[in-house]
Amino acid sequence: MISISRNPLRWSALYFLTITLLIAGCTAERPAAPVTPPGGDASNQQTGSQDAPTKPRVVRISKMDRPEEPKPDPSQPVGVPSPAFSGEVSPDAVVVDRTGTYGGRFVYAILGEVETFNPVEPKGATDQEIRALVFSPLVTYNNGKWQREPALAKSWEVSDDQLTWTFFIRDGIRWSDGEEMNVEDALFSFQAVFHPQIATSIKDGFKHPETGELPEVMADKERNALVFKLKRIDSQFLTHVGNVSIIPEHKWRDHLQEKDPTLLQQMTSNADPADLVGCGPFVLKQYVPAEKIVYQRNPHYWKVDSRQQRLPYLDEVVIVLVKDSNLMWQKFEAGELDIFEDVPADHFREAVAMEKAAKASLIRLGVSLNSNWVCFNLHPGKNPDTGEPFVDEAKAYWFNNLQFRKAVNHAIDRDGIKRTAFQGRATAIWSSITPGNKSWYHAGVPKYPFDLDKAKKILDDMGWTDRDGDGVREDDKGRKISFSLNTNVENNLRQQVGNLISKDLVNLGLEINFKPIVFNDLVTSLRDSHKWDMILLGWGSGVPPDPANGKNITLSSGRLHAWYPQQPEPATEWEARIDNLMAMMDEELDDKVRKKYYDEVQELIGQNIPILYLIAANSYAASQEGRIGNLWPSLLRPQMTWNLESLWKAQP
Amino acid sequence: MNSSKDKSNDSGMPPPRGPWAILWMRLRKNKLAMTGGLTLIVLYLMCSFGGFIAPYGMNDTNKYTVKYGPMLFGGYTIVKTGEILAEDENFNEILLPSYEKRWNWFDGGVHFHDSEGNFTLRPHVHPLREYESWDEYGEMEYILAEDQTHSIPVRFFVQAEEEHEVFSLCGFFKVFGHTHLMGLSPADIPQEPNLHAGLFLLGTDVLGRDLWTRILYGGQVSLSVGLIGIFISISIGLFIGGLAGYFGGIWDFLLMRLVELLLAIPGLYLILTLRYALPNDLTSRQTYIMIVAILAIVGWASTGRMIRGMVLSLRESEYALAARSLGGSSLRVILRHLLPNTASIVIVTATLYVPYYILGEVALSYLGFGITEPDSSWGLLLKDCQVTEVMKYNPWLIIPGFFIFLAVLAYNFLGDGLRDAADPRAFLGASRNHEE
Repeated sequence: MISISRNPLRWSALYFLTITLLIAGCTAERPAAPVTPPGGDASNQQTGSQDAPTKPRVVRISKMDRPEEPKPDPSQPVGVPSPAFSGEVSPDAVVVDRTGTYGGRFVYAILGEVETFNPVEPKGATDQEIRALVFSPLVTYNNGKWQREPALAKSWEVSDDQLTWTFFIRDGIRWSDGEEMNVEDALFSFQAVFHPQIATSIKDGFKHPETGELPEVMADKERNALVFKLKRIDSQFLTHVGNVSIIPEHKWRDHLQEKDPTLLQQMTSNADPADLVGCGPFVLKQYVPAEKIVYQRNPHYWKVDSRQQRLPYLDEVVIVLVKDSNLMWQKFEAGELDIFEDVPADHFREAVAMEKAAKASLIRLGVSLNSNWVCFNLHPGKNPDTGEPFVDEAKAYWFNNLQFRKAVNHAIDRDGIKRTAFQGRATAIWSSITPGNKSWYHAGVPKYPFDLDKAKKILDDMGWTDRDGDGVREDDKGRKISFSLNTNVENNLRQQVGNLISKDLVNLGLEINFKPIVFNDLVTSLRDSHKWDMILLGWGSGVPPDPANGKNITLSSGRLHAWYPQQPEPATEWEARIDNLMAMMDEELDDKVRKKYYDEVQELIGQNIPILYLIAANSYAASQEGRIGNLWPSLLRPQMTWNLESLWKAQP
Repeated sequence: MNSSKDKSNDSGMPPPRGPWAILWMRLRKNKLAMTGGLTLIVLYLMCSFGGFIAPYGMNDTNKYTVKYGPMLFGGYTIVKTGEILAEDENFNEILLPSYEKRWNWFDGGVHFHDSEGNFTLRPHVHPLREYESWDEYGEMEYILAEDQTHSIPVRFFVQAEEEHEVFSLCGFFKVFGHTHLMGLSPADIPQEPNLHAGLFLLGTDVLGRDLWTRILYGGQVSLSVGLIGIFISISIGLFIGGLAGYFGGIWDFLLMRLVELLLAIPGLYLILTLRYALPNDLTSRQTYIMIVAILAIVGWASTGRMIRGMVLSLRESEYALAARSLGGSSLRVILRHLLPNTASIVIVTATLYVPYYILGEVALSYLGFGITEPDSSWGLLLKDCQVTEVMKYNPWLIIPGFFIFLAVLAYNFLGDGLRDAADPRAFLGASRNHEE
């Protein structure tokens, strides 16, 4: 009579297994921000941990130096490249002051999947990083030196009115298929990006802010030069030019039709590797979806080292595609990966343990350029469908009160956040520019140190006190101050920070409903539905780390102007002033003057606190001990693979 | 006719017993099932009085006591490993200390002597001192270790200043009070800089909260999720199964196809989809109700099908036929005659399916779709263990997993025991369930 067909114990075991597997795929979609304190001197690193623990070591506290540039070593063996180089060395070849040994296979991992290899339309940050292996731009950025460098253009000049730019293309450069690369290819690449029917984010930088006009571009075949005629002075023009990868005209000429160009449908992730012809240090050899990308040496690459040996040193580069940062770390720990960029706080102690066992070197890069912040919704608009205001009248009344925001800022215990969520490896920040950004950091921004009594006094003085004895303050109109705080649920670190902030605000006498939600929902409410009260998120930093890259955040019309995005016209005087300063920065080429302008922007944001900057984690990178030569890690991303052509691998 | 209360029964045989008495008697003989049952009673009582037993509040973060080990099993002591020569801002040379902490099993932590070293029956704990440890790269780390020169007595029935819950039934019906079962009295804690005290029986988490406290509060959610969920799903199952089994025909066909449809959907994905469909501005408590509801909506199908099978056979039995021929309405026959006969199997199924709900909640919270911070549940607590580093450096954070294991195992033992006890075909031994 009684029979139970399914055994729940077995069932639940299976269930649990499924869940565990699922978790492996789910947790690390959004890797936790890297975490840590003022960093160290990289040159001390080799001498560091192996010494007897009683022996004192010399360091300079609070004076963090960037990792040093690797030095050439003429006694190093040359080795044999396989596949071999072919063709002549270009007379214009770039000489890199390095030495290395040919051979070896460099393995590293990235999170996520490749959407396309097409450099005209990079989809994500990952695509942008890996396209640099195959394609080269005219101008590139040296992450180690934090400065711009010529690439396929050997030099450039600007006219006196700063509106005509001429880029001189190197002679004798060959594509990876052996064809000669010339100014026609460069022109073709820019025509592709400027094509009205090709939608690409690269184009946006070139557009005139008001009219949307694009610069004129033409080829000067006699001088092998590319000439741009700009519609306005643009201090970031070289950055925009650096975003454009040069693609071979002889390959894709027929795909850039006047109408409905088919260029974007080419070079997708299921393309034939032989079609991906570029001027980068490597060429695609094999792509296995969700598993790996294999590159091999471009036999025609145009850089040589200090011994006139051609680059790159590495025979092969393998990018392993992983879905989870825990898995990635385990692969690194097992020695399967040569490097690990952005060591998260979760794995810091394991990294230190590897360092102590002389299995890996952990490079202290200093304070990360990524900031974490909270922000109140200051959107005054109404939902066009329902006529309801995005923010309740009462909430808008509190949030728009500068004294209230000041009190909240004083009530947040950044030291507590640093000690707990970031495990001590972070720095409190007061502006979007963290101390890690040496070129743009401004120490003079207003600071609001943790002082609960002061915060309480500010609210008391406004008459926002707890009158009904329930532990929650009411505003001067008798409304209970209660609102919600959201962050994205995928990021454990942010959940912890959010929890701490809501506790701090409860201590101040506010009622907070802290609710982590799914990242996509969060972005939707931030950008489109505007139905949120207080939000906790972070900004990343671009390369180069110039604030002009953050215009969609800083400008009042920007889509990521978090507290009130896409304003039809600046809502406040200080926002108008910021817009003005940003426009002046665009037209000013002198970085000293530009810094002065941006200091004022930071001060204005600091005085008006529309956004409360919290903390920046310390940044670390790790590499297997003694395996990779010429590493020059940088705070800028990619931290270690930006100079892949000059890395070499020690052969066992 | 004999009644079991009739002491004058001289047949020499034990009095006949009702089916429930037999069930209980058989169950009592099953040691494993009884242990399971007892464990569950203890767990439920413990979590219901969680607020009273716990020395702290559910979300008492403490930035000074991050990731400290479980005091029940020992404590950390500090070892100075060297000094780092450094320059201060004025370029003067200074020496900075460098420390390492060492875990001592069953040494330190909760101990039985006072500051002078005299043995006492009252448990004591050492206060924790914070050390600034520097490494050769100029990075400073806070290290927390016991200051063994002091011992702080653990007081029982301490009065807290703030009111907190002392009893809670599944997190709904709450009683508030000021008493904690045990804790440290602020008056006993030496007032020194860098000295922090706490009673962390099972250690603290990354935000410096007492893990034992979080486990007790988390149990209120994790354990009651099973009970409420099974109540909902058994109710639906009984209703639908009874309907399909009794009426048969088109009803049976339609309802059983619905059941098959539900069974064919992969459960976890349905749960995730439903969770996505829910509005985001729910409080954690509402989310918790939603999780129960979601789990129950997915979970009733197999129960319903089983009930239907039983009712199908029972409705052909003589007593059901008799009830019908005496003019009993369908509702009366189902409610009075058929469903009560399914009671034993329902109880067994319910017991065996509770772990499914507990694990379901664990999975949802672990994935970030269930209970979220600052609330607590066993699944959420396990979320901290997603990183490999925890296993090496903070292994006590997996203790909530042990409680999940305990609860699931106890339910399964109890369920298995109940099933055996309710099986009429099992050998009865000396007992009889019918009259001679």
